[in-house]
Amino acid sequence: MRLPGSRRNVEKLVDQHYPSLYRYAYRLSGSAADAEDLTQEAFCHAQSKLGQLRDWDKAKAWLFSILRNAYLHRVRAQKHAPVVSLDGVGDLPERLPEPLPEVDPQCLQQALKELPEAFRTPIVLYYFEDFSYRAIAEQMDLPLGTVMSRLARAKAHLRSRLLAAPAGVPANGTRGAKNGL
Amino acid sequence: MDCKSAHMLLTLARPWAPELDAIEAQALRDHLAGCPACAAEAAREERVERQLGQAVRDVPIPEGLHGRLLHRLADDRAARLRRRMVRVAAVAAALLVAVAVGWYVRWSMRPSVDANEIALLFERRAYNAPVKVEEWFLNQRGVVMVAPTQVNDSPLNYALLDSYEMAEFQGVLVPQLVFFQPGPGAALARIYVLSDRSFNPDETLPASAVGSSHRVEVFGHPDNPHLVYVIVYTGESLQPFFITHPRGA
Repeated sequence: MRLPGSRRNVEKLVDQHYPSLYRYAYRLSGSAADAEDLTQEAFCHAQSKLGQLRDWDKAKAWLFSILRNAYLHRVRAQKHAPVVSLDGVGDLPERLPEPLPEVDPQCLQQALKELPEAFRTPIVLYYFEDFSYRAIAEQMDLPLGTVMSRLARAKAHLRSRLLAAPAGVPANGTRGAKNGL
Repeated sequence: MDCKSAHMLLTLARPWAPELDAIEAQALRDHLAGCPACAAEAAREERVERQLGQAVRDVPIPEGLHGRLLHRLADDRAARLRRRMVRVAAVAAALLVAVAVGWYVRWSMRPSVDANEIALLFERRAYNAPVKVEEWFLNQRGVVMVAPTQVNDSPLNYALLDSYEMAEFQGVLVPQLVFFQPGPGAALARIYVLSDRSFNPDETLPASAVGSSHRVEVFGHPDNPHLVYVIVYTGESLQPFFITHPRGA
């Protein structure tokens, strides 16, 4: 369905998607202020390009794609933050303690921030329930196998940083030296 | 299904968004029902995924974000409208300036009356041979024509040729030659060169304009059946426009 760029349609998009879009922006940027800016920027862009949205059912993926482009545009202009290498991280899950420890929100955001964007985006999309592997692949314009490989490594990183037994976690919280993170 | 295959499928399966097709999912369920180790791993995986998923999605929404988004969108719409109006005004102003400049340039470049040039033009165009006339029509007007040289075996006197130009003849632009015989009993003859592509020479009506001071004669080219000459002239005959030879010459 071709949608005219009317105020009502844009507001409908906001009503339906602003929480998930904000959360996605927050997980990408790690900052509430940046997340709000990115969300506003994404909706403004969507408002000006609403004629490109042919299928209302794909509005969420479309908005997420706009927001990611805005984020990438922004980070390219900034100095890159230090990220960890995932070369040494295996696909197999770590041995995890029982019961699982609570996930500390700050540690989670720090662990996400350590990931390169190419790994952070799929893992965030993965945990946003509506995105299938195929949808993530389309969103990132990547082959399905590449997405699954990145997801496995990013999940392993998150598990080792957030859920692994305390004895196996170095004091600084990173496993980069030993595991290639 | 063995444990290795089950483990592989477990890495694909998601507790909230099944990625396996119906056959794979059923095979995995069957295996888990009979394999306590894999069932335990599946349960553990599901707990881990749910916990991490919940943690990733657990982002508090700032208070008033919805209103601020709508406000920003309204501002953005207003800004875009202003930009569009500025663009329209700029285009209109540019058009106005272009029209004004064009009008001024055209007005300032109006040709002046150059009497000398006109005199030279007519001097150049008078006294010409038929071949010169044909060249002029070809080069200046892009028209191929054959200038008349004689009428009924009487040679036209090109010394009397006054001017030539494209002229309208019954709604069609055709070459026109004007001969002028000055002096007492001055006479004027206009010769129109017609092509059978524009006129039907077989249906030429006889000149019967009773009361007109002009006479009309129509004759064809002796060698070219596609050409017709129409002569409109004053006076009693075409004799003044022919070259006369002294008797006995």
